[in-house]
Parts: sequence; structure tokens; C-alpha cells
Amino acid sequence: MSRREYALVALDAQDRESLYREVRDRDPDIWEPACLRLGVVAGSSQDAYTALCDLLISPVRELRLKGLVALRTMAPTRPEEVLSFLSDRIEESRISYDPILLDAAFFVFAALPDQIGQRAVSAYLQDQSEEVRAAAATALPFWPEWPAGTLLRLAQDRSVLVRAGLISALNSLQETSEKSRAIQALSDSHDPHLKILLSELKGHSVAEIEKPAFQPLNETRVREIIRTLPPPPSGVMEFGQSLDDNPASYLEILRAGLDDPGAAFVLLQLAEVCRDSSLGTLFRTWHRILTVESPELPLQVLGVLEGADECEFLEPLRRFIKACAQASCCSSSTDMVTWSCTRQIASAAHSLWNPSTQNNLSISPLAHKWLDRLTKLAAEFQEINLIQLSSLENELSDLKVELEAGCPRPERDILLNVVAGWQDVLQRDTDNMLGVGVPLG
Amino acid sequence: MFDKTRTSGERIHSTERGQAGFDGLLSALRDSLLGQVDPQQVDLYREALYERLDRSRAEVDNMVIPEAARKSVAPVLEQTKVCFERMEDILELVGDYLYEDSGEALSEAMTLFEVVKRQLSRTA
Repeated sequence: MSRREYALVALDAQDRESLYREVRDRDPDIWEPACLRLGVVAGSSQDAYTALCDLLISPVRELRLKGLVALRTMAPTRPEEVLSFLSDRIEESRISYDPILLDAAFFVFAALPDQIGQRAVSAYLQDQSEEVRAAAATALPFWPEWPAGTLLRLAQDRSVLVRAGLISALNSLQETSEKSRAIQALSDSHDPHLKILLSELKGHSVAEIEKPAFQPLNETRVREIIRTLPPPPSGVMEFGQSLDDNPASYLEILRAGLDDPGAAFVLLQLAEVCRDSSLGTLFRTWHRILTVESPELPLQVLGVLEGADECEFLEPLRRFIKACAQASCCSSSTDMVTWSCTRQIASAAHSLWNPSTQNNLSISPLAHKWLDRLTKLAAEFQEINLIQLSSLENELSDLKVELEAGCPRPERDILLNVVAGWQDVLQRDTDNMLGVGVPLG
Repeated sequence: MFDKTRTSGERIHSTERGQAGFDGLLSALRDSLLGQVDPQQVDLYREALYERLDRSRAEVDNMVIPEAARKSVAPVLEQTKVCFERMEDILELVGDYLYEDSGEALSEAMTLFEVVKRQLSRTA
């Protein structure tokens, strides 16, 4: 398309606003054509190009995906910029692996002109990351011919993920002697999942297989998955679907299984497979709580929540963690009293403004009650002296025992971390009052 | 995420159980402007919030703040008391809108909603 033709698709301010709104719509019938239009306009309009770049670097993965769809339309006209963007997306995937975005990026490579895309994909087929090699293997059918030995080398790849990617690509590649040799090499694999994929390929039965209707998992099966180490990926996938389908019930089951051996693994995988990004952030938060042992745990967990998109669902949890992080920053008994009074005053105003920020599925209803107990303990601390310090120390010890028995995980872990920090502070203040550790004059 | 289907009517109902707050009043006002909620219901909501505001004020006023923490707590205490005053202003302005049909009062109330929201986010 020439510059002159692009001028025809230039948009006025109103059209542009409507286009940017449609791109963010949830309905694929609206956002898909809008993304294609954005990609066309971005070839000639700096505003649209900036809007597209905003999508590509958005922290929301749905928007990044839409950016890639728009980018595909722009690829033939601005190949160098598009290639640079795609390379950045692949680099990003090494840090936060998202199979959907990675596949979408390789889908865009196919739109680059003059074999630029094929050369890039060819290099990624030999990447050190198995996820990148697998996504590159899936993109093979976008080009009809590959250098001799490419298919066979992938068929012998040490990663099952890469071989599975190759099998899905072989479905669309034309019959050649190299394809037959690759299938033969794949047949030597003992992996049961690959055998199933391969049997579908050999029988060309992929199109005939009907997808089974989604069946939510029962509680026993979920607990089995969480108890297994490592948890079965297909089970976690089904668990993720069940969670998206009915978060209330399945969050409760998951919470009950947080002591099980596979819990941390399941949380990390669920964070990737759940379609709802707020659930993904919740599971990353829980995973951090379960796996990190540090006096700065509340601050680290707050970092996970503050780094995610703002959302109403996570607000009660964020407020709870923020209060715990502030409590864990107390370095003297006076700080503890100040924290307690500040929290009581701020809570009175916040609960009047929006009581629902206290509770929802993101946090156990008991968590705030326990945090309130901690708040009241310090609030009763009227004067800094040895008797009060000793009394608070005893009450904290009692609270710790009660917390262990009565507060559910993962909020219990955070509160115990705060209590442990406070016990250290009290011990230090007591030592200072007694002159312990102070050199005698 | 799981609460989007709640209507302001349900929020009003929950006020009667002492659950809803000022943010719900804003939604109820919007729904009332769209003709989806009876203004009388909004007025009931407003009255319930007056009572809750009084209780929260008393709670904060009666709080015993130890000498050692008084200086550090003073800014939050001051900000919170200002927020309470603004909330009372909102209730009065909503009353002016409901009883005197004052569009100006409604517009001022909406502005104050934003002001209080910002102030509260600073005390979070």
C-alpha cells in the first residue's frame, strides 16, 4: 500500500477515539477488526503507531495480545520496527512465559516480507529456551520450505515441548521424505502425550476428534492434584478451567490444600493458565507467601500486588498486605503503637467510605479479625516501660499460638511474620532498657 | 470482579444491614438520575449514612492515643477528621439536590466525592 493510499485511511479525532475504544472491547467481533484497522493506520499515522506501541507494552496481557494482532497488519509496511518489537516480546517471554503471547508473536513473524520472518524463526528454532524453540516449531507451516535436516533435528530435540510443537506443525506440512523421517524419529519417543499426538497425526484424525465437554473437577480430584509432586500439567489445566468457571468454590478447596506438597507448583502454574488476570495475580501472591522466608515477606508480597494492574477484586487483599507491611516496618515499640493508632483511625474512615474493601474472595474473612487483634494489642500499650513491654511480649506469644491454630493460610504466614518481627523489636527495646549489650562505663 | 452484577438497589438494601458506604451512595445517585432508583430510597440511604458517620466520628474522637504516639498520629487524625467533614458536606448537598432539586448541589457533591476519595487514598 502506498503513502497516498494510507492517506485515505487517515482518521479524524472522533474515529480515532472510537477505534482506540473498540480495540479495548472484550468482544472479539469488535476488537479483532479494530486491531486490523489500527495496524493499517499505524503504518502512516504517528498517533496510531504510538497507540499500537502502548498496546504492545501494556502490563495487561490481553492488550499485548491485541497489539500483536494489530502488528501483523503493519508488518509488511514497517518490517524493521515490527521485527524489533517481536524480538523484544521473545526476550520478555524468557522472563514471564506466556504461551499464548509467544504463539501470537510467531504468528506475526509470518507477515514479515522477503523471508525476514523465516530467517528470524530459523534462528529461534535453535534457541536455548525450550519454550521459544517449541513456539518456533509450531510456526514452521507458515513457510513451505525449510533447509534439509530442520525437521529431523527438531524431532530429536531433548525437549518434549519442542517435539509436541513439531507434531502440531507436521499436520500442516506437505508430505516429504524428511517429514516421514521426522515422524519415524518421533515414534521412538516413550512419552505418552507425544504418542497420543502422534497417533492423531498418523491417522489424520485431528479434525474428527470431538472436544469433550468441559467437566468441572470434583474436590477429591483437586486435592489429588495438589498432593502430587510435581502436579500433572493436564490436571492443573483442568483445575484452572474449573477455577475460572466457579472461583468461589475452587478457591476454598485450593486454600484448604495449601499445606500439600504440590501446592506451590500448582499456584505457579495456575497463575499462567487462569484466563482471569486478577486470579493469576492472586496465585502469584500466594505462591510468594508460601515460598519466601524473609523478614521482609510482607513487603515482597506487596510488591507482587502493586506491580499488577489495579483491580477491585484484589483491593481487600492489597489493603491487608499493605497494613501488614507497614506493621513489619516498625523498628521500636513506639512505632508499633503509632501503627496501631493510625490503622484504627484510617480503618474507621475507609470502612465508612467503602465497607466492601474489607472482604471478598481474595482474602479470608478471618484475616482482618486477626489483624484487628494485633492492632488492639498495641493500642492497649499506653506507656513504654518494662512491665508493659513484658506484658505485650506475653500477649504476642499467646496470639502466635492462637494464630497458628485459627487463622487460615496464606494470611496466617504473613501475620506470623509480623508477630515474629514485633517480638524481635520488643526484645531489643527490653534489652535497651535493661542496658543489656551496652558496654559498662 | 465477582460483584459487578450488584445493583444500587441491592446496595441500598445492604445499607439497611449496615453494610454499605459512601461509594454506594454515589452509585445510587447515578441510578436515580437514570430513573432506575426512587429518590426516596436515596434519601433513606443518606439517613443511614448520617448515623454511620456519627458512629465513626465518635469512635475516632474517643480513641485513647498514648502520649508516645500522639505526635506521629496527629497528621492522620487531622486528615481523617477533614474527611468526615467532607462526608457530612456530601450528605447535605445530596439533601439539597433531593429536596430542592438543586443541580448545582448535585454537581458539587460529585466533586466532593472525588476529593474525599483522593484524601482517603492518602491515608490508606
